[in-house]
Amino acid sequence: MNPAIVLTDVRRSFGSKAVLRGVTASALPGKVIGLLGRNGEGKTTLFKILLDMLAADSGSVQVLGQSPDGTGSLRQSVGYVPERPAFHGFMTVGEVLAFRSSLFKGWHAGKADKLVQDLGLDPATPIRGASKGTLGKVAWVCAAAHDPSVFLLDEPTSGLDALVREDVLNHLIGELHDGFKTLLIANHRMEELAGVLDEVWLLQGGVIRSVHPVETLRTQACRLTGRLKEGAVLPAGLPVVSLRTDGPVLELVVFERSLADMLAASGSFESLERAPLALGESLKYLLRLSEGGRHD
Amino acid sequence: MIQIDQTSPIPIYDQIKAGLKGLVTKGLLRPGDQAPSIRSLALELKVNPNTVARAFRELSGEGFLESRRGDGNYISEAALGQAKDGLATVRQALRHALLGARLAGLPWNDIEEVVGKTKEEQP
Amino acid sequence: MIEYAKLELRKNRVLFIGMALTFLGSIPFAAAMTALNRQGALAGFNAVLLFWTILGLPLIAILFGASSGAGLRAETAQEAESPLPVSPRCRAGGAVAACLAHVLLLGMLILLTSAVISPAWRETLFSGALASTFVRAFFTLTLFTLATLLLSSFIAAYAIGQGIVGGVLGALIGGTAAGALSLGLGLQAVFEVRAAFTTLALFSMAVSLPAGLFALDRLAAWVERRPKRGWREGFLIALATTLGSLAACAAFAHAYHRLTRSLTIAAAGDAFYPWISTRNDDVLFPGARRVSRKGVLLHSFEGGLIWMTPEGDRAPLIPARPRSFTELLGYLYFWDRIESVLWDADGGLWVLVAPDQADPVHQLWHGWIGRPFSLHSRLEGRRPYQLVRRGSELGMLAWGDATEDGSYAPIPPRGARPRWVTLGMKRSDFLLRGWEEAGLAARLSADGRTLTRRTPDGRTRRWTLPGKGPAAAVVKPTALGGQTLFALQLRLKDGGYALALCRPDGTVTTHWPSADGASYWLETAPDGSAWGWRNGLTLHLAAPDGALLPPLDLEPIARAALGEKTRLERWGNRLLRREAFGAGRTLTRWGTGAVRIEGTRAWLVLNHRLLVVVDAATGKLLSRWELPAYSDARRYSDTTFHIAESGFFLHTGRRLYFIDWAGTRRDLGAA
Repeated sequence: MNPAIVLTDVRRSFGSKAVLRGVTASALPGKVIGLLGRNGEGKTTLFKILLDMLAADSGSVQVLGQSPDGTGSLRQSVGYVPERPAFHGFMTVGEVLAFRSSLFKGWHAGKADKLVQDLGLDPATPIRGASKGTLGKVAWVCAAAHDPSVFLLDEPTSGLDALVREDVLNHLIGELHDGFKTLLIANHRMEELAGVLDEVWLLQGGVIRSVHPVETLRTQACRLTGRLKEGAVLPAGLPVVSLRTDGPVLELVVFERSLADMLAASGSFESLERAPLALGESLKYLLRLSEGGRHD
Repeated sequence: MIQIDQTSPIPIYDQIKAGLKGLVTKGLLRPGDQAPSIRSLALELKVNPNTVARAFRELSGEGFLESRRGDGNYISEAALGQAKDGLATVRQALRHALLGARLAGLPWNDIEEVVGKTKEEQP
Repeated sequence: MIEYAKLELRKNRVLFIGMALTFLGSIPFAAAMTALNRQGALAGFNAVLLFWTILGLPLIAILFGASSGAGLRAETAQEAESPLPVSPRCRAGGAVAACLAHVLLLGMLILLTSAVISPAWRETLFSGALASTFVRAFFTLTLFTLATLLLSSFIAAYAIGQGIVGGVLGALIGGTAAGALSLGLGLQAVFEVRAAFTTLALFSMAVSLPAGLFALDRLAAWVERRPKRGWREGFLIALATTLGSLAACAAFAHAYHRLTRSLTIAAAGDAFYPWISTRNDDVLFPGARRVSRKGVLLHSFEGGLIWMTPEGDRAPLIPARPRSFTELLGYLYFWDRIESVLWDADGGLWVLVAPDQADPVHQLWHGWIGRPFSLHSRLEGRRPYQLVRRGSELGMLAWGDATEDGSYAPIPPRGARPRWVTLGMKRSDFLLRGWEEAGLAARLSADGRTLTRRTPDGRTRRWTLPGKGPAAAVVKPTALGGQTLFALQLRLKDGGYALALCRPDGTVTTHWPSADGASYWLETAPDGSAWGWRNGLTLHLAAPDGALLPPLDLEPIARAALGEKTRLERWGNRLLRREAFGAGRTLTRWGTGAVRIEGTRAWLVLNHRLLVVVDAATGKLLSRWELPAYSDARRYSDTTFHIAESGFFLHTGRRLYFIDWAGTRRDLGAA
């Protein structure tokens, strides 16, 4: 099957600052992918490049077989929720949707109306002065009403209260249920989406450093606590996160069972205790990979 | 209806299977009842519908669920027995774990401590 | 793009309504101001409408363009609009289209309001509006100015992201284009010189807007998606934005350059005589004629005098004094530095040079062809405008001031000041009196039957006329067949008319009798021949040797020369050429005349287009050549032709030609 999203060595810099330094990844259709990365790592830049809102300096991008050509027609088949949803202040909710319906060729008025109703939106609400929750809901309707098969969601729940968040999440799951939809989500509280994600891409240092299937993380990530034998040294550059390096006791977070097994069998440890790590925790620790968290 | 633990290392689909089997064991679902729809279960548990679909597929494969007239999944007749069988497997796994712990040198006090803690968490 | 344009219309709604209300509100306000000032409301209306048309509407175009362009870059707009599936080109294009729609609507509002409230504007704009080329050009230029101001302001504001700076830049770019084209149009309207300005102007207009749209397209792609682009892209965009202005400046520069390079035939003598510059006085003085027929005098726009031979050799006589553009602007009406030239009997040439920044007083120069010219005197006291021959002396006519008519002074000795006398009568009368006092002109008696000439030494010569001439008129001499004689029209006893020639030996001969009220006015050509119109159909021709040829009927000649396709018909005593849609154009005196007569053969210029050779004895057309086309404006100019010995010079407004008596054309270059 052809991947829904393909990124090959995508690079982008702003002035002298290189933000993306060769991003390579691909997403199969129907997959839900979490884009994990700290603030400022380039998540929004990556989204914009995928949406043909920003030009990549080099590398190739394909979304549903289409490359960004500068005309923005790619956005017809992608549902996008930006980090800060913004609409024209002089419009009402209804007018925003009506305006979008005239631009998006696949816009389903029936679906849009149903979403508006489900989310409890009032079409007469003016955008100027609307609450963050309202804007978030409108953003969701705009992203979903034209039935895209790829969704790019940049912090879709940030700033929203618990109930609105649940609404959005429910609709997201509803979309997944409706068909083969590919989702690429950047969310700070990735644990929220833990049940929905298939895969996690770790964006660090301008590249996709690693790709982790969520099931693997859930079942295999563990915390190792142990004491190194006299004179034993761990190999450098291991994809583990050190929680403690002072003193004789080492605490490591390991994300794969095979590596944990290897360390246990290496004989470098006097005693080694293995405890499973909750998915939310392992997602947090992933962020610390290669940031001085590596054991070297 | 069922609960899943996001922090547990057990795969979600396994948890769903176990949860459904538990419902049958507790008598809340009987053979012939319609199983909850994939969509409603996914929404309730906040998980990917594919995961729910996988759990249902496996349960169908095991004979726990059967799809009738193309309109959903129904608890099969053999479900009760399966659930009970399933429990037997769980018992065996628990025995296995205890033996392993003892062999590893874990004292009974510690084992009982673990049991006590778990009881607190999951009464 | 349309959807996006609708969005932009919505965004700019407040500005649009605001401008419309400002306009509508300013009208009663202005009317009230002028009414209070006792000038009447209508004056207020006209003033405010003038403001809005000349200044207000362009400012509106800049305002809409700049605010829309800057608005497109605003962060709020970018955030709300960049996720839309609209290409950068559509976004920018839609915004420009919306602006343009708003500006055009405001323009129409202004136009319609002017039509309703001001009769003066109604007349200018609507009756005969499109008939005049000037109004047409003005209208086109206005539309172009609005479009270019709008587009440049938009592009500048969009590029910088700032409205005010963008507006200023847009005003500069658009203003340069509009200004250059207006100035060029003005030059073309004021001066007779024809440059390829119209073509260049249309070209620059045609190129300006597509180039601007191209720049906008590239700019939008760059600004929205920010791909890596170097300075080359920026340069290309800047060039495309300013291309129209650069082309307009080039068009103006061409028109100006052409103007400063232009050469005009200097018409010698006084300007009372029509069309072919025959200057009868020249003919009376063989010394002058010998020289003046060897070539042509040309004066340049830059103020120099040049002698050119039929071969095209140029000899500068008086050096030019190039004027700067600002100096030129100070004298916006046509102002020649070389105001008047006059040949002296000995073949010398007098030149009247106008004052300028270097010397605020007129100058008189003198010289000979082939020898250097020098300043003869500075003419203080009056402002002379023409050199004339008054009998045996040469002098100058000058403007009077408010209280008196005009003055005359004979040419003073070298270095001396002129002595001005007030005319006190019509110019023509004053000059004729001089001729009479010098004994060169003769006077008819009160009954018109006797012609008397008195020489200064007191001798009298009388001619008794076989008919009646114009009563008490003064008749200047004519040279014919080597004799100096007097030619005048007589009314005969039988009621008919004839030409009387009063010869030096005292005899009077009559010629060309005619029953209708023929005109016997004769022009003399430099070769010594004479010719005139009898009526609108017949020419009178006299050969240099004095032989008077039979009257020449033009109709068969015109038919033979103009060809089958031209429809000619007689209409009264005129020959008409039928044009399309029933309009008739007269084959008039302006456009037909003799340039040379040899034996019985006459060379005629026919209807502004052809040179024909005719045998006057038989009336047959012998040869026919086409002349280079010259502009309508030049048809009535006395600086179009100059007849020389071996042919004649023709100035078409673009180039100078020499056409010899065999019909061969020589191109002497741009003029």
